[in-house]
Amino acid sequence: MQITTHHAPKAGNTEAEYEDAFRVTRCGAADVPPEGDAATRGEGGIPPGPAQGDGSVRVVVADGASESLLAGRWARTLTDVFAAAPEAAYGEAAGFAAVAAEAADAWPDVVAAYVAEREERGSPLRWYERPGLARGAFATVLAVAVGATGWRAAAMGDTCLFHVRDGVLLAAFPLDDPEAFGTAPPLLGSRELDTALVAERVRLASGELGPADVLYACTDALAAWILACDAPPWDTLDRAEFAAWLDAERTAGRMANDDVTLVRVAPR
Amino acid sequence: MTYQAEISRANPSCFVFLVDRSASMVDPIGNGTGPSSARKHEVVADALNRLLTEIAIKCAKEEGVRDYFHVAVIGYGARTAAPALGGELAGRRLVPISELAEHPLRLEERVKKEPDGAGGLVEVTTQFPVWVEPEANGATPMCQALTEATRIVGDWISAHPRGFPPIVLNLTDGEANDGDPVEKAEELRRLGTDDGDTLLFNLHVSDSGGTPTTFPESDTGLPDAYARTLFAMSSELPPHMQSYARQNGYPVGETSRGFVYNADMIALVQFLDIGTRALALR
Repeated sequence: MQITTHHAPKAGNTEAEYEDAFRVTRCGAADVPPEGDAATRGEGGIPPGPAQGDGSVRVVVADGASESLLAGRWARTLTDVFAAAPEAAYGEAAGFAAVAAEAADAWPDVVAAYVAEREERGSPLRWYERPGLARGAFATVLAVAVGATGWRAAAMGDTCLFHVRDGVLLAAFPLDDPEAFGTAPPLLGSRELDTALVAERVRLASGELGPADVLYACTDALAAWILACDAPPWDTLDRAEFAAWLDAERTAGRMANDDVTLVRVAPR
Repeated sequence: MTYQAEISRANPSCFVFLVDRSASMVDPIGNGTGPSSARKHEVVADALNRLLTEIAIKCAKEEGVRDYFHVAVIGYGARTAAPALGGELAGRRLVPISELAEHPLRLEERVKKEPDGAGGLVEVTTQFPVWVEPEANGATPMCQALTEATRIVGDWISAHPRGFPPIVLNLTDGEANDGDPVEKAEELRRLGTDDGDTLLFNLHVSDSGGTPTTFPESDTGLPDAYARTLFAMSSELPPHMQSYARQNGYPVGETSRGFVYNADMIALVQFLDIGTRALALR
């Protein structure tokens, strides 16, 4: 499989303020070395290098909600936990909800470590941080399992998967309308997670892969841009100078200014 | 499309709060006959401190508060309209929200009851910042205050001509005595950015009794001339704010105005978009 990743923080924000997360993993093996910019990001410890192997692959992309505190850490926690989750997390509502609950169980330790680290460097929490930390962090998740002949995906929120064959869009999941994006997508919260409700609200999909098919997983601003395109956008996304293109689209007002993450998977 | 501009550190917006500190504000709300004996100047100071708190919390991220908004607090009473922040912020007209968050006059410990997750309630101590103290003195120069707001907003718009329009929130009992505030309000609302006109909202605290009212479509049912005047001065809620108001349970219509009578306006902060909202699944 050939895997390429791109990511960029919102224009005007720093790399440290990027609050998406992504992780690409081959089942039963080490993380898949993708092409693209993952090495500079260091998400999930993915090293640079050419793609190898033809085993099944998991792609997890999460988008931390900007109005929550520690949103980037919560997105990374979710991608880590989903990447290591049982197969059921990618194809069954109850399996997805159970893994979301596992991530929420891990969250208090993440917060405690953050608070301790702040204390250690003499910068204890301020009054304006406490309400947000008490409410918890929120993020979308898209979890995709890609095999030799097909894919299965589970999604909470507006991080999307596009299945393309010969330049034609076969499936857009979970959203297929650029008008469906907004500022209040369904999110996984880090505390008081209601597994029954998560199981009820998670969206599931699957598809069969042809020999030259390509999958694109991306966060909401880029997904909305793709769905709003009049012409097939796939060649544009495959270009090498992704960052410059992204800047131009934002500057022209054709794409919302938000963190952007793109994972392209060409299974064969 | 108006009121769609991005609010970010690169494209911040601006809040101007006008606080009535005239002598009449010392009277109890609801004429002292209702369940609350709180005085108007206390209610207004508390409402303003809570609004500032909510704005700071909305803009808070780890390591600090992001300057999505710059804030002015103008007090009016005793024949003047002047900056009302104290301490290190004394005399400042517009203050970035990060600076405001770092410099309240004091932090009070307040106890509130929260769900304990097991069907009961538990008392939790929280820190409540105070920037503005209750004050009531002299006349009500509301026109002066609106003129000062017009000056601040005009300067802001010159520097941010494409930004989300400024929001001016006037907290008052409505008893202006330096002219006709409706005319001054019109001048203020006419100032705008490429994204829309300045929004003027009014929070009316009154001792006239009557039913608390939030975002009404008409002045029918408002108890007195002061309330009707403040309603007339208020901007209509832009469509996206109407939408958020409905999501928050307010029965608003297409001509609802940013006016409340003996009610709070804390929800206003939730009507502003600065990114993906942190909302639990429902």
